[in-house]
Amino acid sequence: MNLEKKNLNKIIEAALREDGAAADVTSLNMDFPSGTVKASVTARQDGIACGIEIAAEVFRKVSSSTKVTFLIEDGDKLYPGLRAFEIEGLPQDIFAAERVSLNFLSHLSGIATLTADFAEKAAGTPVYDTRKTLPLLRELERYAVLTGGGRNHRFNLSDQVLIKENHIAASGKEIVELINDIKEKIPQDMRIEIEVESLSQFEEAIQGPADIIMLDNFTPGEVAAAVGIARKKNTEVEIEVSGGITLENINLYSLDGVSRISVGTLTSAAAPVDFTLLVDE
Amino acid sequence: MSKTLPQLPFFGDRVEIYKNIGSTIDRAKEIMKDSPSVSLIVSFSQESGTGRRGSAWASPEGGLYFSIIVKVRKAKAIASVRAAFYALKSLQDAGVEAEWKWPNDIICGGGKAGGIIAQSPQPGWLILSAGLNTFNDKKKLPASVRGSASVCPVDKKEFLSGFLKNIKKEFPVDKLSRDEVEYLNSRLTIIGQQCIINDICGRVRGIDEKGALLIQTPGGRTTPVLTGSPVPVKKAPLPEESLLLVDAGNTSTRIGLFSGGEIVKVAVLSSGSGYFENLEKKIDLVAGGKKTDGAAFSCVVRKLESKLRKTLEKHSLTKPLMVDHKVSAGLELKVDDPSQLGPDRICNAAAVYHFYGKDSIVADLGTANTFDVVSGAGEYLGGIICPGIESMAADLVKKADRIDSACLGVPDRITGNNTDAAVKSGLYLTLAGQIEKTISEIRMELDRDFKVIFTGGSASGLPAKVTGDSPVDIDITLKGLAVIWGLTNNSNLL
Repeated sequence: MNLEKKNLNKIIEAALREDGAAADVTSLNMDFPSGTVKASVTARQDGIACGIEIAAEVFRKVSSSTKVTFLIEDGDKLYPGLRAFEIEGLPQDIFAAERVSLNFLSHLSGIATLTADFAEKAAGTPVYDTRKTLPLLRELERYAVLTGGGRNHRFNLSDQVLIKENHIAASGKEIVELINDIKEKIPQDMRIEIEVESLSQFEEAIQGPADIIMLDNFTPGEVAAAVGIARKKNTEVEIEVSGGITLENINLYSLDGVSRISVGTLTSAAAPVDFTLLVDE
Repeated sequence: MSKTLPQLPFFGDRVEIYKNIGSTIDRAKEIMKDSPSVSLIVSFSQESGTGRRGSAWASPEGGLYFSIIVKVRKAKAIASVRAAFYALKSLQDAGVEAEWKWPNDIICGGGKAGGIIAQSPQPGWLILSAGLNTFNDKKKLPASVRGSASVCPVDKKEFLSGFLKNIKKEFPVDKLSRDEVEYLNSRLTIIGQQCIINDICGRVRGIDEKGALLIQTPGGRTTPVLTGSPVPVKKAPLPEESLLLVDAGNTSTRIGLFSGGEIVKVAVLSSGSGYFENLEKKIDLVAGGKKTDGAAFSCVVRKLESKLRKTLEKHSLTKPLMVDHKVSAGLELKVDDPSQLGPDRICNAAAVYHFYGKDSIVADLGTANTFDVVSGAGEYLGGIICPGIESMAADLVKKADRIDSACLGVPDRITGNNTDAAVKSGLYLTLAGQIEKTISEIRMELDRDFKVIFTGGSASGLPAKVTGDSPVDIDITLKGLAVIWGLTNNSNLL
């Protein structure tokens, strides 16, 4: 997992704090038999695994003497009954970490699973995520998208220009003029993307020096027309399709000339994958 | 003071017997100052007994404490070794089988039950002094020494008479005979052990005819040591560093992260296509994207060695250690050709010696089932290699025309009512029988009650009926790697 270790630790610590893991009044007021127990985290659904490392790290964060044995890794296919990893430690340590660990694992596996579904249906056109992520979890969620076979859009507002409908309206300028103005002010290697709402806006935008033009809420027919226009113009601009993309219609948008399809629901509406923790008898 | 102890076979000029005295040694020294004469001073308790190098010697009532003044041609270190020989013989004659820790201690039941020292305060004279816990109750001893001490309830008169029979006016300091050396070596508690003495570290080989302790250093040289206190080095401490450990076997590879003195993360990888790509991924998973302080690996597949080393180099701050017969595993490899011994088996042996420390057998069940025998003194005594159960099952399916599949597990009943059940039962019996027979034959041949530790891929599913009370320690090879890494990198002693 290529995440900043420091950030990851902070997220895990915050989540454990939120869950009151240090003061589990149930475990703390019970007398468990002395010694360690073994448990395993097992999938209850099909899907794509993601977050195995972070889920295991949650247990290790609660107690550094808890031992983890990885049985699968991120990107592996899940099926009901598949054991993802085993844990050996004191029961109170295992129970204190359980919920937080499974929450990370279920959520990230859900995103990876949905991404994989979209990627499969998109039949080769790259599927991108958006900024529609849960606050503070973006880094993890973007990692889950990559794990599912998707790609990452800009990380945040600071690393790419994206001119939206509201920007155009508020600027009071023509689209081409607006793009040119911005282009002059930003570093040379920074990309400019512009979102258009109609074919006529598209025809305007294509006159300017944008790197990507995003077709927002276009029908498949309108997308095909835009692609045709771009082809005639012999431009190198990338065409991105966005808005209203579902598993049912994504194949209609996966046309020659469409460079990318971005799907907000990858991160905003992925159903969690169910996992369970079972203590060995 | 009573003047005589009747029928003591002592020929000397003077015999003094006390119920209680400050110290028999001090009394002997007084006599030496006044007018040296061949004398015997016996007491049954001491106020301020002294041991070797002036240390206090607890001397409660009921013990036997004595000093003998005799002539000596030349004071030599051999005097106390010879005195120990007489003491051991006399104890044996009195019905107590004692052992000896070179050069001074009498050991009974694993604890120190007595001591003998030889001093020469004046040229030509020798004071032999002994203290023996001849009482029954260890509680008589102060709490501070009770832990390492023991008692040897022997008849005082019988022992002393036996001892005195050997003493002549002049104490002999010539060489020990071959029989005497052999006798003393057979009772030497630290024989075969790794010890440090006078800054020399090596394995104790026994004593020579001059009474010197023979220390074999790792290079193979044997050095005789005449004085000093051997301190057994049973275990080097486990490393505190974080280590990436890889045990690459024939069919699978186990990757572990060692941190805080234990294995905390493990991943397993099957051999086959994409091995190195997957290895890289699994190592990332286990190491958590961080470089470890060190790395060690054991590899039974020669062609993987160099790539494995290179892969580990990327994840470790220091050069990875490859385990083979040349590394210091803290063991003495008693085999014809150590280079034939698989590195995984060296790791297993190092780990059981470190973690269990008793006479042990490691049963590693996998492609092959290996049984490695390690003594509590850290000697690798040899092993047994059998075909593993999965290999046998696969071979059976391949070669027997009417057997299509083989299921491993515990059968419901031994007599199978169909082919599948019969095969399942047969495989179970093959494995259980192999394990049981191997262990009992080893125990019988070497006449020791070896502890058994199970490990390996096929060990985790073993039913309690087969393992009994023996522990299953699935990470023993990885633990052995950590032990050996520690011995190589952290210990300047070994």
